[in-house]
Amino acid sequence: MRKTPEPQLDRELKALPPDQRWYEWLRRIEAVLFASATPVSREALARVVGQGVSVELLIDDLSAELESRSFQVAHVKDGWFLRTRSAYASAIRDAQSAGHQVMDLNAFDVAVLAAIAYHQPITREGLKDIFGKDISRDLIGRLHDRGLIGNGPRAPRRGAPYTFVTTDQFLLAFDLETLQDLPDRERLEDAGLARG
Amino acid sequence: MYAPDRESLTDQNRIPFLPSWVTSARAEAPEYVSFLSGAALSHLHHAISLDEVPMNLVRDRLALRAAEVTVAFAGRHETAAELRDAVHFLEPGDLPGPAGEIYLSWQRAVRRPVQANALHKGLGSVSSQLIAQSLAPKGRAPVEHAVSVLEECVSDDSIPVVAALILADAALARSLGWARILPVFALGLTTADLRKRDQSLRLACHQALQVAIIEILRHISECTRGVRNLAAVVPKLRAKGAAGAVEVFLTQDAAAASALPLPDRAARRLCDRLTSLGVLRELSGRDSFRLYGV
Repeated sequence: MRKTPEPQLDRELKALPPDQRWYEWLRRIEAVLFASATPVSREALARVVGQGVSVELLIDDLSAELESRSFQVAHVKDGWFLRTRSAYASAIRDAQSAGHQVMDLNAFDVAVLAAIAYHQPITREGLKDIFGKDISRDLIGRLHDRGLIGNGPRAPRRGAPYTFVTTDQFLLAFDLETLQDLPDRERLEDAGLARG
Repeated sequence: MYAPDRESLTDQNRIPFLPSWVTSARAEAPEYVSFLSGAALSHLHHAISLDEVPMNLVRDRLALRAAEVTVAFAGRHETAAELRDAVHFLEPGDLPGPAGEIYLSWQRAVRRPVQANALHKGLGSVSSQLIAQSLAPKGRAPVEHAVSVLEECVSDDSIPVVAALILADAALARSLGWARILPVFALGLTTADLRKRDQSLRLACHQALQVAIIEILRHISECTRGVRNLAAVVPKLRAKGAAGAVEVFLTQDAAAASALPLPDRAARRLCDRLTSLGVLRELSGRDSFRLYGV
């Protein structure tokens, strides 16, 4: 199944001299990343540049070009996306009207999310064991709505309850490449930031 | 000197055992280590080409073992039983979770042919260039080639350890002319080994092969014996469709009764019957959501 783009995208740009061709490919990568709200995979990027051209080299050049800008190319498991530099976080926050924050999670929501991240796949029952109280469906719903968690495999016990697992969106939101980048549990315990 | 397994495989086509000078040797000198791994590999090569060895089942079981080991590499604590649960109770559209994901990668890796495009779909973050390069031994000795692929992958932070090990196994399989991957390196290497480079990594890989192949040969003889016993009772089963259902257990490490091509009740009864005949095992230890395998 091939989509037929019209007019046909000229990938190879044979008519241009090599340096201009490279420049054009660079702009295309930039445009694709800018236009996308989610990370763009290597395969997707490779489709807008010449056959066999290294997407990594183009990304490297783009990163170098963006060095003086307020945003940068960030790499996640499945691809790349554009992200504002953390130095401008407070400026961005202040500019956004209160109550309009993207995540809008309270401290307990975040605690539950962290428990899911560390203990996934985990059921509501499992979360209840950790927090000593029922976790409301509302809270789980909020995490679902923001795309931070998804349904995992059913737990093999009475009623076959769903388990919860974190999503790629979760990694993105917390600036993690993989779950292994979560703060080490043992170190958190030693620092007195978490109990075992 | 008789290994305990030997008795039960005394019929005509038993799987030959590794000679004890391979299984009991602990070598440090590079020449001797590579000599032993070569002897073990050659033996394995012969064993997997025997007609009666149920290679699909063996590979499926090794995928689970490799997943068990590599899940621990990722700092997680899931047991083989939990990994089975994560995959067997997954429904379409559900996410497998981090441990389930690792198991699924191994399952995909052992089920697909050792070809660049088949591997590429399962190893999302690895460039097709590196995959193609891994599958082109260019006349190098099989283990040398696999080690150099492994070294390149583990030196690159963007490649997950599981993908690195799958690629090294793929490189080995390709240079030995195997049609599918057999997880070898995951079964013998430790996380400390994966931090080694050059000569010490090569040495660790040769030692890993020796350790892993001893284990793999054990799985091969267990699976072969299990399948032979199960196949032997099939003619006694009168339930309609029983042969088709048994086929599932001849190729898969585990399956729930509900996954068999039979009505629910008939499937459960068949599993109970096979378990009581001693040719099928219940693997979960639960009263419900049971999983069976040979």
